Amino acid sequence: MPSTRQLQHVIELQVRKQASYLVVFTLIMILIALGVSIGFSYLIPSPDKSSMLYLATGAPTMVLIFTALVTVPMQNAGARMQGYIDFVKSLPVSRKTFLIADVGIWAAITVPAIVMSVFIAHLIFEPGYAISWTIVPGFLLMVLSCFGIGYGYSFVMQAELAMALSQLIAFTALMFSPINFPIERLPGWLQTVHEVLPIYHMAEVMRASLAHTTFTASPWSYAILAVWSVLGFLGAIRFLERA
Amino acid sequence: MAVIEIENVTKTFKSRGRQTVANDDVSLRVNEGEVFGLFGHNGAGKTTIVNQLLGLLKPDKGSLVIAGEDIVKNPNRGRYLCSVQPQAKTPLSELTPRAVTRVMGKLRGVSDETVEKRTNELFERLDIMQWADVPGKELSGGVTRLTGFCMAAICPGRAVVLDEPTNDVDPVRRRYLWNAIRDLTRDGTAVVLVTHSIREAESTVDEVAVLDRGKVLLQGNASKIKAEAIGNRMKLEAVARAGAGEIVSPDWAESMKIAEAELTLTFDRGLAARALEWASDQHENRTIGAYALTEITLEDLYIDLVGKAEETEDALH
Repeated sequence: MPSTRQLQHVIELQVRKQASYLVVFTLIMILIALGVSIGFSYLIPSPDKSSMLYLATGAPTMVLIFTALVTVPMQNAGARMQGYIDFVKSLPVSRKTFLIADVGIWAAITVPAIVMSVFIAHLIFEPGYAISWTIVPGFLLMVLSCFGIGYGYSFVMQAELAMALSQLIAFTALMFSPINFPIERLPGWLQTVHEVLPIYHMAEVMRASLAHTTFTASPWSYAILAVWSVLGFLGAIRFLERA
Repeated sequence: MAVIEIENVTKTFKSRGRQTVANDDVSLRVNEGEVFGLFGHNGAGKTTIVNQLLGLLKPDKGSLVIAGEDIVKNPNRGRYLCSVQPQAKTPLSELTPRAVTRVMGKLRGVSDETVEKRTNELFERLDIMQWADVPGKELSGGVTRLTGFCMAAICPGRAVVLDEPTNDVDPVRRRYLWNAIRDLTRDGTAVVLVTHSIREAESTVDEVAVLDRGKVLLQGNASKIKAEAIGNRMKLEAVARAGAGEIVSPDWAESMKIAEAELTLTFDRGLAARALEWASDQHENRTIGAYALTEITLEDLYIDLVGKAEETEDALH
């Protein structure tokens, strides 16, 4: 394991490099979370409790996806093009330390948005939250899987392609993913695709943790997320350690 | 004692079916407390050497040893043993020179007080204190480059690699920088200096190697090379106003060359007064413009050497 002191210094480096951007991004994520849980309710003519609960439990997943699969890959692709990643690779620290520090910073940024969206949605709609203890391990697993994939693809792919893919993910996650509505509404083939991709499983785990009296997630969802975490981080570490 | 030993290193890059030999059987040795100048044209393979020392690239063949540790076997050790100022400017964004230099020192395990003291010393030495707390994105290219030097010099380790450290830096601060580079060697640190600015680096380097198309053309002690190749000669440089046929080489000159409207005449130091007289006459006759009598430098040798190597190479193809 990397030394705590080294980790602290890398966190300092990464936070100070983009401090004001990180603050702005935290605010944007809060807006996105509220936009999904409150704003999306306007799309439904007469939302019932169940639809509201889908939106209210989908918002936190959306925040994680927008951070880990859209924003961070954009940042990474930009950093690669500017030569910042080469600089990071020449630092006298383990590259795993860099990855842990960076994932930690970005994961921390999603927390205010998730907490606020849940709190405000509860105040306005009382959609039926029932938070389970699984929120802590569930959140960690979701963080690992989506950040693993985000770092993985933005390092393994060509920087320009990774930027384009991040935009595609933003669009499909928002429109065609069973995060804010039940998967049964999608055509059969798209359901099959989502059975393999991590987005649907993230939404399932998040729902089961935030409203455990209404939803349950199958062990399959946890397993799929674990596989994606490993694949993503292996890709990212391979890129960073490559000589 | 050798800090860096590079032996028979070959590195080839393949891209779209084309093969480029970046380093061709390169062997170099950098000793403790020595500034080693690595010179060469763009694309000569200098940065490839740097990246292999840091473990960012793996050689196809050959061995790289830093402070007794095998970098080919353990590429991860390279960046711990060498600190580096990369050729590309590090995008600092909101990081200030002071903040980033401090982090670099702390990453190398230096105490807070030492980091503070050394940062101030370096900033004062390079006269960049007024920008110490300005975010990187607002800094000029030269100050960013000097910050890059401080980041490498704050806690140099066994070896420091400086890749084009003077690019973008103003002439006054360049001089400060050359002195600061020299200072690094005082405690036995080895410095590898990669640069195009041979004329400026001349007084700073102990050993030199000239790379051309991946191969080492020349290597050795800088003063010895100069003494052997230049001996007691000087040169006269002038703007040539007349064509090559209209200026007759004086019989006392060793050689005369006119290229790109620049005339270069070499001769024995004892003939300096005669050379000035000749130049003054030519100037009066308007065959030459501004002229100056100067020493022959390492840069002149380098240009000759690389020029000759390229001619031979072209003749072979």
